[in-house]
Amino acid sequence: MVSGNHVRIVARTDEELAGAGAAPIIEVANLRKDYRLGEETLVALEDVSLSVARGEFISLVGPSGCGKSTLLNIIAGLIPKSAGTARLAAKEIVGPSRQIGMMFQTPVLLPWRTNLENVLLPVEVFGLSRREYIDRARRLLDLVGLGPFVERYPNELSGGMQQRVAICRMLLCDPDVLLMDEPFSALDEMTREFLNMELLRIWQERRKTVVFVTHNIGEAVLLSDRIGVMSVRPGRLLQVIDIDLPRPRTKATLVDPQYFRQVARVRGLFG
Amino acid sequence: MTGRISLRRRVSDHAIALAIIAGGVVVWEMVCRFGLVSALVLPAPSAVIKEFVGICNEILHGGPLRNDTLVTLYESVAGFVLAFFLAFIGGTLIAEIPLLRRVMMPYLVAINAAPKIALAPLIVVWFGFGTGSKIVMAALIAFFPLLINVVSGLANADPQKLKLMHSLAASPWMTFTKVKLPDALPAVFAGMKIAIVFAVVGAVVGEFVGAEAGLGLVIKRTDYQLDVALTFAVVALLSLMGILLFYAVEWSERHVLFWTTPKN
Repeated sequence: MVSGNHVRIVARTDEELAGAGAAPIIEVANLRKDYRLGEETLVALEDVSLSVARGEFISLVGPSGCGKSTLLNIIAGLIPKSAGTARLAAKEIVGPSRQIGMMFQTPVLLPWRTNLENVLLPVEVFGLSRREYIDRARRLLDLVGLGPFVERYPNELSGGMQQRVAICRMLLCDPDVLLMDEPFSALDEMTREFLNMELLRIWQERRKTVVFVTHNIGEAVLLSDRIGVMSVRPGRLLQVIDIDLPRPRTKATLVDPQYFRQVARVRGLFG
Repeated sequence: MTGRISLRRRVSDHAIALAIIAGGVVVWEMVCRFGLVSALVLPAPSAVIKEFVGICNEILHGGPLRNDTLVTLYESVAGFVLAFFLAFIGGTLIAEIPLLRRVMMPYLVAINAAPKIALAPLIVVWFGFGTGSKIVMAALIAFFPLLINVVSGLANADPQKLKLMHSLAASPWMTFTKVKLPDALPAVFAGMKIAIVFAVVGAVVGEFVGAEAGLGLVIKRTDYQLDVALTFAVVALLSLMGILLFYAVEWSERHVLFWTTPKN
């Protein structure tokens, strides 16, 4: 009995340590992903190793086909890896986790549900009580400026507004890790910048761990603590560089000479 | 502005269509008036219209034709509903169980290609001269377009939405009820619009083979009596029934699939 208690206390202390940032929340080591195309094998990812600390904002950039989305989908538990390790909160990733919130290139809203019901989708899927989350869902929609549209349908919103609904859906159940797969790349430049600012504001408040896939270097520099630069064929993580820009970052960051220097530095890596 | 232009265009489109139809009717009337074709072969439109007004009157005032109309309507709708439930259950099983889909699909395509109308005499032998055999006949013809649309609707659910549900670790049941089923509805309704018209055909074919009542039986009788104008009028009545049933399905489609018409 006594020893059992002791073990539990030690385990909890370990968790607290992890929570304090001692252990990375995402650990990827020697990761490999192959796709079989008939007789041929396509190497999508080769020998990728990456650790992401709790509360960190990391972006993955690289040309199309570099495997950045593949890496994200493996961390999300959506596709299996071919070799190597991939861990989330010290546990091997074997499938999707409720600790993760995701966003995709398109909003992927269900058009037959109101915006509020779309935000509440994870609650229904997880079998939680709608009543407990409905106020939170409304507050989140309010937070991103969609208060007047809660009872409207997605097809009454612009593309940027729809992505904001998707942000709320991702945040509703308070996941530890946000995985965002080119979430703003289908939007026009003005809308994208606006949503970058929204995301920065939300991240500043909540300090979630974010893995953000993009092919836009400026966007990656603006948002990230670190940027993983990837190469194509085979998909490799070439370099992970720190972005030393002061936080909180705002619209002013976008005209800061330091920002341009960082963008130029990342751009230089692609030759 | 654009709304008014498109409305004006719609009106003019209808006007052109009506003019073409009216022209055809005038030619047809001339052909009959000048005795180019015997009235026993092709009655004049005016005669058909007179008969049509007559049978509409009879239906409204409770004559024997009212019963025949209601019998055919009942057989068509009951057959359609029966086919819908069978196709929905069967289609769901086929779409959701990969093994069943792989094994059954080639046979379904083969059965679909078979002329099911040719089974009508057999169906009447099996299910009798009453409404039962007509309901089975209507269901048999309506079943396949429904089945195929249920299967393709469920199988072609938006992969992005499925990925979202996967990322939420949703159970197969959750994914089915929250995404696949509503995503399949447009295809299901497309099948229903075909099937409802097919169901009327099935009921009438069944009545041709042998029936106690129904508009198919009326057509057979008027045909024997060489009352061709009346036959035409009953065919027009059947068309009207098909059109009304079609629009009933379309009306419910508009209300169920409210999200497919953008409001923005």
